Amino acid sequence: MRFGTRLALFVTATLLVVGATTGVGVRFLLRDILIDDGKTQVVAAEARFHKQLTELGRSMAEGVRLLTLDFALRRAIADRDAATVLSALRNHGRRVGASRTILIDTDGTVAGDTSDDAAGAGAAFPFPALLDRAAEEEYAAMVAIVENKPVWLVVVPVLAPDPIAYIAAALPLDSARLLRMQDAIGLPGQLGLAARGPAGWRQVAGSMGDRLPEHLPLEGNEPTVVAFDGDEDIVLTRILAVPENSPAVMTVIGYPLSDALRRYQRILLGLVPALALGGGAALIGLAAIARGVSRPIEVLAGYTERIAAGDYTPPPPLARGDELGQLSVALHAMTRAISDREDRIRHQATHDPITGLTNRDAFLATVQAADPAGAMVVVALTAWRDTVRTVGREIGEGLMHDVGQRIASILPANVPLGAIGENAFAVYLPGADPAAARAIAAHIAELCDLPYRNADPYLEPGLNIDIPVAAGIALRPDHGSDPALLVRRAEVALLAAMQQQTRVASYDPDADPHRPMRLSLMNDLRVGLRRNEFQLLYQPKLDLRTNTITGAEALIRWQHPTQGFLPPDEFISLAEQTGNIQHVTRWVLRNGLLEASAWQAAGLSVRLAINLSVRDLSDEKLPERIAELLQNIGLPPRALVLEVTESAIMGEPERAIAVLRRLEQLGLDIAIDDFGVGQSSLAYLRRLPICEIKLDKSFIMQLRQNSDDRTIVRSVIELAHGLGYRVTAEGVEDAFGLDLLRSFGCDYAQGYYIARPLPAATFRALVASGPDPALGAPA
Amino acid sequence: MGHTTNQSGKRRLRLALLLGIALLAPSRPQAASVAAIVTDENGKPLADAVVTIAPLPGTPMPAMSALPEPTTIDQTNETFVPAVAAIRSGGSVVFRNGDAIRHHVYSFAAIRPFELLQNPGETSPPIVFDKPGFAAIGCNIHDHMTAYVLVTDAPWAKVTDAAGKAVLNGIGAGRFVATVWHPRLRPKAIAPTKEIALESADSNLTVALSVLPPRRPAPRAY
Repeated sequence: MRFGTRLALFVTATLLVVGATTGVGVRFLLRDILIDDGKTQVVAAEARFHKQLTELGRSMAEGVRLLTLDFALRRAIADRDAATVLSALRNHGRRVGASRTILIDTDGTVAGDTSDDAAGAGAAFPFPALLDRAAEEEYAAMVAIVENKPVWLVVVPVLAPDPIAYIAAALPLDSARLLRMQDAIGLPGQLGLAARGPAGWRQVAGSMGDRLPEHLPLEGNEPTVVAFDGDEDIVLTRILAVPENSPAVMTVIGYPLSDALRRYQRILLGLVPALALGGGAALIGLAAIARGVSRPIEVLAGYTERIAAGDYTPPPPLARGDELGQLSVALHAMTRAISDREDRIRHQATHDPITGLTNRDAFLATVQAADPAGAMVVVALTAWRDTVRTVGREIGEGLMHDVGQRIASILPANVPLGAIGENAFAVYLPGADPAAARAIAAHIAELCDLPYRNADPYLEPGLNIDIPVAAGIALRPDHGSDPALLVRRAEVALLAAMQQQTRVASYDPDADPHRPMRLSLMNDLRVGLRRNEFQLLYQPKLDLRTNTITGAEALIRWQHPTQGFLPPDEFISLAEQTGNIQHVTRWVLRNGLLEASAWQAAGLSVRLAINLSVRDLSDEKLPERIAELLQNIGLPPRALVLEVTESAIMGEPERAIAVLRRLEQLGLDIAIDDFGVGQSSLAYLRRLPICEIKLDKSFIMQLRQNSDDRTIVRSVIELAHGLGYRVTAEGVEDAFGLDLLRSFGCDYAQGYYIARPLPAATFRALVASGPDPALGAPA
Repeated sequence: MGHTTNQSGKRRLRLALLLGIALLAPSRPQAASVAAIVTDENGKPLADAVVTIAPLPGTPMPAMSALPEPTTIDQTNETFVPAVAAIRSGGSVVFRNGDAIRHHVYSFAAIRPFELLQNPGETSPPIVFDKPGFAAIGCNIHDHMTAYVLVTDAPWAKVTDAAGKAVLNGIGAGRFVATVWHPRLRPKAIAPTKEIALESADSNLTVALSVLPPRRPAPRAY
């Protein structure tokens, strides 16, 4: 139930209960008051009535007494002139309102009667006691029932000067007279005279009607509440003094309690509309109050629902000083806080925390909605990881942020720009053709020509960092419509640019290792490994001290059944990327070691060198597998040298080093391949369990022309020797280089000048043929 | 007032005639007197009562003296004086107006009705009452004026004074009947009588009468 309804119901019920209780209480109280008041009124009215009644009798008696003083009448009575007396009595009787006048002798007999139907002269006056009383007290007056009618009966002696007769006069107490008296005393109820007859009391005059109480006389002549059919009267009776021969007479006065009560009941009933009006007013007031309370609550509830639905428009605050106003203010603050937090979360969800640019997902979503024709440019900071390694992540992130700002500064606002990796940005150029895309990509690359200058004084102030970048471009829809695919293809192009040592490259589907043809190639690879489509060639390694072949680097070749001969570049990196390199390594190890076993069996002292890829170094089971293989084939660990590149180690140095240490513990020698092209220093190599470095052919091939190379090579060899490493020079292509290396003290040499990679049988034959004098005199 | 106490007790005796006669001394022949005391029921002396003494019926009447002079009833200060007069049958009454106003004296008495219009200072001719009985006399102008004339055949009659006493002299020995009358005797009441036997000595007679209360003054006009 709603608050307002509850409140309204409660107050209405209270009002009704109070109203009803008040009404009933007032009615009972009123009844008591009315009864008391009625009794007082009845007693007072009755007293007035009796006073009037007595006065009526007295004045009547006085009137009769005056007429008895008429001398002529007295003489006529004394003369017993009945006819004259009767005529005089009629005349005088009318004067005083008497309906009947009787002349009575002093002996109590009727001497004359004005009533026609009278018993006649000579009969005894029926109320002799009145005569005595009249003689004693000048007159006697009593209410009596004469011929079934109530009358005031007045008896006066005729004095001459002693009583010579009595005159009795009857004044009818009829209903009309009683009504007049009732009016005179102002009695609101009924008034009557009741006489006792054979069947009990009955009204003989007055207005009592059927309201005459059943049981009379009432006790104690006290005002009494008497019930009639549904009505109530307060009744007061008084028994009157009557002559001895008259039936008893009483006055009955009724006060209509019910009428009085009804009058007040009308007032009470009049209270009902007043109560209803009050109730209505209360309800309206309550509705207003409840509205004042529940409306704001509903409004606030509406706000909270809106908030739940994600609408954070701040609600207009309720201009109230009460708790609801405070609640509104709190809600307002809460809405703002939620909105801010959600904005922050959304921003975090869609933005890169470092650059502040759109993150990968958000960027892809934006591109999805953008012009379906355009160009995707991915720009990567190619040396970023090395930068982080050398100057720390904070500066690296500052660098990323700076570059992001530089890129953003040249792009129109509607061009989507995102940070899609820790060192890569992506720009989607809607509607751009390849030339425009290239121009933009080149522009971006140029932006990065300016070195990054760290602005934060706490982070190595004044540090200048070069920003080598590469950019790849993929076209939409030529290279795909899906934004993620576009980015991937642009990344492929980016890698191609890096490999080609250029800054910008466009996607070339043919060079994409991920293209479907390439993927099927990997499938072919696994099949080929089983079908022996692969072949190991062995490149001899010349010991520069003995001038004998003491080792060989196993190099894999693939004779693809349909594509023909495939060089390692074609599939090794692909195999590394697709996780197939392990199969290749395993195949190489097995076949290489089998060949080495053959060498051993043939009495050739040649150590086999096998290349491990970065993937192999993350394989923690590799050492066990190699040990098992050596054992199965029956070769000592010394028969095998494992070559790893610097970059293979740098990917995951800790794990790689752990693997390398275990291999070393097995007794295997480990050599660093392609030394010099990476960023690692000799000092760094100290951490590695290696015993040999192989100088990259880029240093060796131009020894004749480049004196710097000569200095570097000689220095490296000296340093390596100083650190206890053996040194192998790769790419030796002429006698000059060979001699120079020998003069530098280089331990081994490898290259076309010594021998091209050879099939197993050819290699075996070469070794078996003994040292080649052209390569130096055998020791 | 004393007579109002024990009213109800007295009332039972209202109609009873209480008559007690005490013969205090032997009467001498030819020269006895009777001293009568009349009271009301309460023993209060009753003035204006008439005591008459007559021989028992059947006994010879004593020799009667000649009729006396007419009795005069004055009207003084709107009052008849005396209020009660006792005369022998054949006697007469003269009414004399001593007031400065007129009086209209009348009586409807059966024994002798009359009517006199008297100017101030006027004296009426004697009015002779031949028959025994009593006449109530009033003034038609002044209702409160009343007088009574008792006409009796008895040889001895006397009106009681303010002390309720009347002394009747010159009564010889013998048996008599005494009658006491009062104008306020109750209606239909008969004047009480008592036989008395007189010797030579004086006798005392005490009579208690049941009478109406004195009439109230006339109501004032209003």
